[in-house]
Amino acid sequence: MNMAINPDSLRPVAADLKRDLLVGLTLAVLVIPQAIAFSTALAGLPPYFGIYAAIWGTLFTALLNRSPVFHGGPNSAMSAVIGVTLLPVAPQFGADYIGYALTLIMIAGLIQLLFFLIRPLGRLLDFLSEPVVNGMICGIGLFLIFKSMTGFAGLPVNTEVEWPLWIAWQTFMAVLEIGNLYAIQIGLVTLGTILCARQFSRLRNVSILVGIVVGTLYSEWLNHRYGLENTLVEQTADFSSLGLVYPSLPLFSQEAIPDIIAILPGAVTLALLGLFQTVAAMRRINRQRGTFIDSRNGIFADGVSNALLPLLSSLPTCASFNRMSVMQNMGATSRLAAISSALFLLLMMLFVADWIAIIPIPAMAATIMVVGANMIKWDEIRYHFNNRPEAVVFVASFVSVHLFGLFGAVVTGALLALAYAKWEKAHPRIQLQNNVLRIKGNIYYGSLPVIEGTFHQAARRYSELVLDFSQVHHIDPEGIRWLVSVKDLPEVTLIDRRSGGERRQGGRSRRSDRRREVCL
Amino acid sequence: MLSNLFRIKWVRISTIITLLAGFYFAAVVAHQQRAAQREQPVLLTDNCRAKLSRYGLEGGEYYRSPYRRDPGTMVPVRRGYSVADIRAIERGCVIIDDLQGEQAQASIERWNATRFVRGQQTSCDHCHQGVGDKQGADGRPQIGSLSLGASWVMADMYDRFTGLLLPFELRQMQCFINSSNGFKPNIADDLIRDVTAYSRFLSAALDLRIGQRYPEQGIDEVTVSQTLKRGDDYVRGEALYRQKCARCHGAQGQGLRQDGRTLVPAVAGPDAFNLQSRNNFSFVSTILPGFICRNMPLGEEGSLEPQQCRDIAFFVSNLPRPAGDKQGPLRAAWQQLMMHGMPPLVGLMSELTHGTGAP
Amino acid sequence: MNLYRPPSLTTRCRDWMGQQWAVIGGVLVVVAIIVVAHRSAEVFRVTTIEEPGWEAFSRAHAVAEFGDDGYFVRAVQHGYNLFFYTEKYAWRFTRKRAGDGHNSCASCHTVEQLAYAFVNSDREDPALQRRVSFEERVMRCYAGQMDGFVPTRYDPAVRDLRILARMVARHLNLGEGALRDET
Repeated sequence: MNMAINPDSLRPVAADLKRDLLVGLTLAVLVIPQAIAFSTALAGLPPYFGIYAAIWGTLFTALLNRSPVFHGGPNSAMSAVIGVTLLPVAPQFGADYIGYALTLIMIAGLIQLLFFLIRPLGRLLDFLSEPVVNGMICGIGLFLIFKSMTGFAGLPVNTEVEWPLWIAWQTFMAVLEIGNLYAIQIGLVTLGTILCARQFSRLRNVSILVGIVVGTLYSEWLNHRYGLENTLVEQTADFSSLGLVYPSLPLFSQEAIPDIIAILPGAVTLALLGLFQTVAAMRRINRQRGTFIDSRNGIFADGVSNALLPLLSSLPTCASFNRMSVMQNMGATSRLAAISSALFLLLMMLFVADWIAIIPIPAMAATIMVVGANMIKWDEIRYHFNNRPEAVVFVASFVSVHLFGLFGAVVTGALLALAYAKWEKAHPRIQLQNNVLRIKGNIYYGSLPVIEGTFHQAARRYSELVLDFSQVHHIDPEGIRWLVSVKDLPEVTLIDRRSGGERRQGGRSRRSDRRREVCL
Repeated sequence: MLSNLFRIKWVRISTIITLLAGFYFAAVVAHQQRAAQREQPVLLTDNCRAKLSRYGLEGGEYYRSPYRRDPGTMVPVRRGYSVADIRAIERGCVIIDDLQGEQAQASIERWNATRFVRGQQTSCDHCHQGVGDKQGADGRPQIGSLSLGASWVMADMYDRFTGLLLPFELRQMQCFINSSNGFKPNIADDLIRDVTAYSRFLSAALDLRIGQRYPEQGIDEVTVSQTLKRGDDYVRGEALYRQKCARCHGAQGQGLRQDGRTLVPAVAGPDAFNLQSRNNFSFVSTILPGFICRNMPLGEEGSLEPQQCRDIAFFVSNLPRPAGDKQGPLRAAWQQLMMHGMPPLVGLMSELTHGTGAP
Repeated sequence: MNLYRPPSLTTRCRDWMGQQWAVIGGVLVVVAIIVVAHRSAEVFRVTTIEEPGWEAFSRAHAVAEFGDDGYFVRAVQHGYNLFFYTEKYAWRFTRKRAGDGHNSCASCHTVEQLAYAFVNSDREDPALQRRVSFEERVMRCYAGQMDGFVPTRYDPAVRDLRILARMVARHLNLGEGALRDET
């Protein structure tokens, strides 16, 4: 078949293509510092893990997820979970540690697939209300700031136990008293540069990149002047000998089984934190774009990717709020943007590896501090304090991160979400106007005590009480049994009445279970 | 007014720079204070003065310990210590002997060790007696005396409690977290490094060799085969405790403090070691009985039978004490309730039943 | 006449495939990438590779006293690999490659020297005017002589060298502060 192609009709397509590629290039550059910082400073893994997550994680989720502005890749909270879970198991950066990390990520991926396969489980994620998620994100943000203080001062990370918030002042004192002064200088230069660059609207999006460049230049000057063996500033270190891909196998051996069992709660936390963010991000994108893409797409893509990424030396992936908002702002139109960002980064790996190697860890820690501070957004939190139940849920979720750890926070968050949903349902609005008791809401086992209480109070006051069920949308079996038992009382009569509309239309009154009146 | 000022970009930027520069200034001042403290001569406690002079700690190119492990043999010549090394060893020694700084003039003399310890009672030498090197009447190290020197030469070995090849610094940190019911200092802290220096000096003075297992290392555990195999009994333990221990440690094991000094350490309650300490295994305990058999009661050491030690340890382990840091806030709250609620309740009950103030 | 006929199983299958082709294709591409990667490049595994000379070394230093395997012996073996094949096992912390001169610890030191350095560590260094730990010495070596980067103190690239030094010191029956010319 011969088709005449009109060049004008292709012009918008070409423009879209160009814009998507530009978005991809921007994201590829933006993700590099995050990828390195998350893997070295938070997860305790070599930097190539973050880079490969930004390449393969982004590519896999883009291939598997239908959403056009979805951007996967390394994530701060998930990286922190890896670090916290594996600290007691093996020394960081070692081969054993890497093996356990790969196992942890794979188990988390399989758990995420369970959430896809078992529909009600996946549906459960929709109960995570905004205050729960925001509370957790704020809590994790604060956690990241304190977690990065040792790296900021070039101090060794203490193994064994996690560092709770209320003794963070001890870390702070350690930074002041025994921190490596060269490291502190580099960290402060980086932090200052980032914070100052953020004051200029033009530099705002690239402030972290600018900060790292300045911090690295300063560290190179220090090393040049005093010698690296005297400054002893850790750097992200070499990975130029790695190719485009570094395949790996997770650790599943007989003697590792006790440790693998011990890290299972960490795997659940990892899986859930990833899904929380993916589902929340997809929900937000749906609302911003006015479209609907089922979040099950995201769960599936994340599950498959995380189950397979450990075979490629990569951190786990989930949706990234900040990169997705960049995509949205720059007007990405298709999945090509995410795919091209992965491919651009793959190309860059060939040229920038030597430069990445000299980025100092204190500069990375400073960026983590900024990332952590950015997770606490007053503009989004503010609204939760207008409504008391929301405020309670938000504060509880925030505090639980520091009180119960990340696993405890995930469990608390889920329980809070369910409790919040049930609490709303369990309190139908009941009005007593003269002798008419109006019930708006559900009659079910949870709300029955509330209804019964008011019913008996009103019944004592009025000799003839009319119950208006016209705004009840659900009665569960226990509610029906209660109604039956009320009906069996000698002084109660249950009368079917036609609804107002039916009365006006003169319709039949057989299907009248919408409106019942109980006359006492 | 102030918020208007912060709308100006340059005000914000200069504020940021001032704050960060202030932080750096504070860090430099704190570093200088530490460095000055490292140069200070060390105010030794009596025990440390005796211990270090006995082992002939002096500056010089070579060091030869006057200690003889076996009569007729001499400890070989070792590398000598510089002035800075000696100060580190001395500081380590006073930290072991007086962790709480009861005999110090300023908290920084102990590197602010109380920051990492809860309560005012715990000190290293409560368990590591004889300033980490307890010796019997014959001048030989006591078996199972938790010797620091013998522990240093066996560091980095597989640790069955953590599943790690446990470095010496991490072992010290566990002491801080669990046995002192506190927090962990950073391993780069002078607090840890000085104790390591002192432990290494002890191993040089006693001529201990790397990687060798010495009987004075750790605890001489009381295994079940040494007992009458009657099972550990709480009631027998309580009776024995009242008879042998309560006189010093108190009816509820709360210890004794006078004039800001700990005379008898607590074995239970808020000032004692916590649930996660290796001293404390509430079901089958072999470590605490070992310690009791070797070191208690003071002045009558070795008078208790292994079975009696097991019973007492079982009773002590089940007294209320703080929760460990890994046991979570709920357990911690419960233990606080037990520690502060139970003793008055038990006291009241015994007053009602026996008509005496103390059980 | 009823125009509706329920679709046959094959039609339904084809319809479902039609809807899901993107997802199935995506999964296939992902799996293909992983298979190709595992075929074409060296794979990371958590195993300690036995390098030439380990057998003789472990016999000479009686490592078997601690057993053949287990955490400690594996750490010693990794330490051995690091010491003699630094460019291969500590590649993250050195810019030296197989062809370069002085590319391993063994180019300058012997394991006996390492053991003596270990028992004499944590002493004041007159040149640096402060007390220097064994770990810091190793870190300085990586940064300076190996023309590389500073590992963290807990990195097995540091830890396993310390454990190797301990092992050798035990074999030589060294005590704290032992001197070389000690008989």
